[in-house]
Amino acid sequence: MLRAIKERYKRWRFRNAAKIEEYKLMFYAFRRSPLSVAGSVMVGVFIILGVFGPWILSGIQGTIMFLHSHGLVHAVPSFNAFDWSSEVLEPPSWRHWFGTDDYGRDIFARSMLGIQVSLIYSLVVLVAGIPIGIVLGLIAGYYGGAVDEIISRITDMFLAFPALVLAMAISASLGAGLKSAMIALIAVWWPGYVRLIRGQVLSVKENLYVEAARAVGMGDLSIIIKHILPNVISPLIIYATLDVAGVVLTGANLSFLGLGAQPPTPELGRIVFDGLDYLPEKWWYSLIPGFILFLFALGFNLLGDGLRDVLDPRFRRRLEFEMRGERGE
Amino acid sequence: MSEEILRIEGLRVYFYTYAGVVKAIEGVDLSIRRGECFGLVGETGCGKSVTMRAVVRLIPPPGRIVSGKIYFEGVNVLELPESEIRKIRGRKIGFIVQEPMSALDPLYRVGYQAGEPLLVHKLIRDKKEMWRRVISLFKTVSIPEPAKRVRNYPHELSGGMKQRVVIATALSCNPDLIIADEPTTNVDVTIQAQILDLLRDLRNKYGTTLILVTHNLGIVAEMCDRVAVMYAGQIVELAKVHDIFKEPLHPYTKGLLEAVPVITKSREVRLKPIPGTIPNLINPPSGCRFHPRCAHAKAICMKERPPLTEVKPDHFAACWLYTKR
Repeated sequence: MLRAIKERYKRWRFRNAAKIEEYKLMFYAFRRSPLSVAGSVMVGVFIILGVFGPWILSGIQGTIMFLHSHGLVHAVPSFNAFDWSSEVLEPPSWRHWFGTDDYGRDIFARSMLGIQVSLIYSLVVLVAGIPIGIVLGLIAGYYGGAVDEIISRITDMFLAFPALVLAMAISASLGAGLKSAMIALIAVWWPGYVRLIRGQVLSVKENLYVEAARAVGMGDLSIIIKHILPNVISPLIIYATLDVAGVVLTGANLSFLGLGAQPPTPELGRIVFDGLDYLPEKWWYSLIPGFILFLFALGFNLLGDGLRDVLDPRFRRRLEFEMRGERGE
Repeated sequence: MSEEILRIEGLRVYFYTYAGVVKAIEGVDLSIRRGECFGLVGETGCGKSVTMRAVVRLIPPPGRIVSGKIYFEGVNVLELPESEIRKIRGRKIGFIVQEPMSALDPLYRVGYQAGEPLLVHKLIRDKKEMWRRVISLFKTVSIPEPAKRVRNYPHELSGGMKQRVVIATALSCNPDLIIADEPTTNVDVTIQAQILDLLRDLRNKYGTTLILVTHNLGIVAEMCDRVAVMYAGQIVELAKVHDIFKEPLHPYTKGLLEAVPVITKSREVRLKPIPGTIPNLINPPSGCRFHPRCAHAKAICMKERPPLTEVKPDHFAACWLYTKR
């Protein structure tokens, strides 16, 4: 029985040798740079914090309270994120890990919850902004001519403004708030993707297989979906990953300027802004949330860099030799 | 050998470039009979491929079919709406594109790509049937171990194999006409021979009409029944293969044949190139487009375009040497 399974496994390995090798190579490409591993770990941690932030906070508190009741820790930290209290502007301590703000709220708890808002910003752009860019980019690149001119010129108009200024204008005119900040971010972010996709499509559609597809009677729509989109997707993934950091920072900027999430919603950019008034002495107020924001952006950038190595076939070929050398083959 | 499958009348294709209007095809008339193998030869850039692309209306922009009629099985292809022409492409007319190396999408299994026309034209019920059909197709184009090869990706196959896959794609819907646009460029001679053998076998087996576009006169001599020689967007000579090689009429055809190396000739016999270069088709030469390079050019050649006339039975030439004014 066991032998039969082993035999089948061996045969499966033999049949899929090329694939296994390829995945190994991808993994190697990723693992060989510690930075990209660090980036993916950071992104993973931030996603978990963003999604489960409130539960994690109460979990930590519960654990510590349990330990406290057994006399293992001397005090319980306060994760008071919303309520005003008299513990105003206290430095980091066991009770307030990152200190407190000018209303006596715990900055650690607020930062953890603030990650959620940052994640929402990036998600919104990924889910709503990029598809707009993909569709318009595909249309502009594939059909060319007048359609391309119209789409590209409109795109250029959007790109002519600095992203932040345009986002500010839009979100200010819609009225400050998380929703209008998100609309502003979408409006600012799609044009870059139109550019990227259009350029990719222009080079991909010259491939002979696109013409071959036309010669067997395929329609434009199925050619775009089946033969063009899959061939432009890999640079898109890299670009989007690198871009998340930009989105988050711009979103934080909007909040910083008072246009994004409104108090009392905790938002990293907003906390940094509020803390500015107290900066030299009460440094924890804005520096610690700022540092978290920095780590968030850095994580996505490192991950994007790592993905680029993994998804670029040419770079992977080069690595193949390196890996062989390392294994002493 | 009489019914005609494809007739091209007065085809004009212009390319509207920034430098000016390139008159790539200027009045081409052709008639292809059902079941024959027709060769279309000429130098690079003389309009062979463009003519054939016009048949399936795949002229790349900025090219445009300016005038003419193309009857395929009695229907004027140029007047059909796009949805109708799509039903002909791949289904009735198989197109073997140049350069098999890049004619396959790197992201799909070759078997899937060969079966794609079947899916597009809804000739099969489900994917399972497609794979079965593709495996038998791969068998016809003599790909070894077809059941395994269908699962390969293009980069895993050699050039000859890829070319076979491309041919299989063209064959998949059992088309009435196959247009092979330089099917053997970029593959070496042994594979070239195999692929030509394959095309010939397929033709014998299914009686498909084959149009072979090439600049290789050897292939034409080997494969074709009739040949048209093109020069600068016009047909200069049209005859049975035997006649063209035995007694070429048009000075250009003569020049072409003299420029072909013959292995049995001694090395002292130099090849004779045709003097001059292909004309710029933005401002083509007046009259006969070949006259600036022609040794027999007369006054009339500069003024008027010679009509394609039947000089001998079934042997047409467009040259004032054979046509009285």
